[in-house]
Amino acid sequence: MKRSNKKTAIVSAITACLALSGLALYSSAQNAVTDLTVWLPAGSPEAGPPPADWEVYKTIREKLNINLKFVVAPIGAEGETKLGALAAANDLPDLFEMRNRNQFFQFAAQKLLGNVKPIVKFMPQRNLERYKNDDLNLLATVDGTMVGLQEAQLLYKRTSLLIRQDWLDKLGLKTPTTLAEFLNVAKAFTERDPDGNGKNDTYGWGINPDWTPGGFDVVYGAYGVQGVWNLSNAANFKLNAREPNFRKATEFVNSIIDAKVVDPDWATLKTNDFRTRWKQGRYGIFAEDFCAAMCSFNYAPFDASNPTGALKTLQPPVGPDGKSSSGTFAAAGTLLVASKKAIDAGKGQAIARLLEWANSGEGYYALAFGKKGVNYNFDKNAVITLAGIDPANAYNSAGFLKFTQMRVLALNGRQRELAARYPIFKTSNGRTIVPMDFYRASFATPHTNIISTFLIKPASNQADLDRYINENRIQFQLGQKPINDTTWNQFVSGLNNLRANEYEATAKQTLITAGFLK
Amino acid sequence: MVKSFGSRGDKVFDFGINFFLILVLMVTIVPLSYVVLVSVAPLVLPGQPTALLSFAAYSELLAQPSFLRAALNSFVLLVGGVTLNMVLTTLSAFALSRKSLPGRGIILAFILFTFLFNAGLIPQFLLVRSLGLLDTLPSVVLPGAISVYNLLIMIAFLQNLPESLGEAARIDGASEFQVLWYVMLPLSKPILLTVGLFYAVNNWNEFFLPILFLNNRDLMPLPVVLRDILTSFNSAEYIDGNRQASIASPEALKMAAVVLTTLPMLAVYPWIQSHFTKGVLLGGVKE
Repeated sequence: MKRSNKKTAIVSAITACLALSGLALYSSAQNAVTDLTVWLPAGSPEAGPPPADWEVYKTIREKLNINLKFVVAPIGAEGETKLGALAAANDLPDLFEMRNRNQFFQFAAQKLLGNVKPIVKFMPQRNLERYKNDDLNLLATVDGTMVGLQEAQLLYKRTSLLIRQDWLDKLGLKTPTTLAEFLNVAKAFTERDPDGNGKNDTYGWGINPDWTPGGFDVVYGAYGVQGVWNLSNAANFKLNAREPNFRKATEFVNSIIDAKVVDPDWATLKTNDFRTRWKQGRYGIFAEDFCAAMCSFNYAPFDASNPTGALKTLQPPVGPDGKSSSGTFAAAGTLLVASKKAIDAGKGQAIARLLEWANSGEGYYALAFGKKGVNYNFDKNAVITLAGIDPANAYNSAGFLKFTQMRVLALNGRQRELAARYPIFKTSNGRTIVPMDFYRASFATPHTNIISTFLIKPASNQADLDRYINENRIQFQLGQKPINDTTWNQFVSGLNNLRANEYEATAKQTLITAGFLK
Repeated sequence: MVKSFGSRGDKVFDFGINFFLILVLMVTIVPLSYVVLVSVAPLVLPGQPTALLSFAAYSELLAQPSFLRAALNSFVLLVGGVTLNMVLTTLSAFALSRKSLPGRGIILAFILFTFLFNAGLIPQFLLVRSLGLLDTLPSVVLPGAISVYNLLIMIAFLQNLPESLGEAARIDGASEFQVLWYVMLPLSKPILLTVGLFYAVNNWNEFFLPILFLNNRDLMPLPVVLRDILTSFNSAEYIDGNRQASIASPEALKMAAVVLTTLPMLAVYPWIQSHFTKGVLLGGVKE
């Protein structure tokens, strides 16, 4: 062999070896299984976690090269304490959901959360469908770094007023539109025995005090002072409690209470009591979440006691300046974050792969509904149905709920999904109820957007401030404290004694900096 | 001659005491009976026939798949925890009750220090984590294996037992363990039952430590799982709309959960009540 040929052979051999080793390295990198710990609150808290031999774990390992460890995260104060302990131990999960904004900002400030912007491109479909909303992304951006994947709430503006249409018809009344008309209808519902049982046991207006501000949201909405803040523009930004219209709304609430058209127990009712009462047919007008009112399992007790009862979505009352609002809303839903530790360890792509897989197709159905033919079927419109499914294996059966605990990663709020989750049903006397029609009707009513307030960090004395405002408001509403210039000015000036002005200044700056307030 | 009745002043005093105790009894019984009554209150639907009592809330809770597993976990924590608590507390108390123990004062001072100044949650979490105990049942019982309060009660009790009994046994050739086992423990039934009850109640009601140290929901005890079940019932509007209706009211479910968690302790207490009272008093009396 010639010398040059020898050289060529050696070079070729070395090149081939390098190429092969490169290929091997590339291939092993592709096949390397990434350990991923994901903490999410349970989709169904009453059900346990999926078992270790859950088929989905196997699928994720084989198809995504991810060794997934899913932990059902505790919720509430204990859950936050646990996250705090994990943070202190620098042991935060790779991917987890955060519900407490304050804690989110704390973790971000402590550099415990990873920058997720670079991984978004590895989940193109999910990115397109979920992370293209600038307002939502702002909520997850701290000091210019995107440290969270802020998803939209699947269903927002879900709460609106409902009215007993059957009572309106029986008493020959028109649907009320203004505050004055609301008061008149509420009076008629209270005094003219709309249920015809001969007893004085109905109230025009049912109030759930667990909702702010004290369940009279629509009245404050009619005066344009719904929610905590006046967000109209930078010049007017302040606590709504300072607004002259806040006083007017409170005076109107006081007049409703004086007219005795509201359940006298309203101030001390709990949500469950409130719901029991409207289901018993005691309220003519009340605000309620669409599913809490119109989903089959929630509607059943109402149906049993009011077989001819008909609930209808009601537009919120229009105030003197033509304003109206059913309630506040924020379209921000699940906030997913990745720990900095996970991102630094190169797990970002694995996180993106998992999220993309959960977004559609196989992953979507596996996490949200189980297995086709076993846990669900499709009807002719490709909507998920339980026809032909053994009830014991149905995706919503008690025994199967543990297999859909991670469904928050998958659910997308599209029409087909909602049709499956909020199915049509018939009442005891054969009327058809379409829960999603009530959602759409609720969505169509005016609401006040408060999404920007998610960026406002609580004041150091937030609890004192809240207590001060709420106590005074209820005292004014109930008439325990007369509403006049002296008492009202005392109330407003008392806000500054609690340094509300400093809180307002900080909040204003936050919103201006974020671009929410101009 | 012993008078069967005291003076007028005594009668007034007795009446006052009895009246006060009746008030205390009422304050205790009224909320308890309220809880029981609400738990068996039927779901009232006007126009529907209503039973006087309904155990729907209990059957609904007991039908939850996670309930029995959680009850078993609670039972394991109770038995394992109380056994560990009692063994460690008794051995420590026996040693520390001996005034001749070298360094007794310093050891007691250290123990008392932990009683007054707790290390806090995060260090506790870090310790359990570095011991590799996270996600194991021992992580729930080990941090509270010895309660300083219970230890001090037991030390005080053992100190009041005549030292001569132990000395006599030692002269007869008994080892320290035999002195404890054959002499001291048979005389310590009241304090053992009292401290055991304290530990049992603590272990049974343990809520926060399991949440902090356990990730596997299959290991969670009853209080945590009951809380989850109630959370689920209370957030009915946020879950899928095709869920089955509850056959009991949310309040009944809540109260039934309270009764179910309280029942085992309530059932045990009357059997050891007399020892319990005696034990607490004896621990604090010096002859």
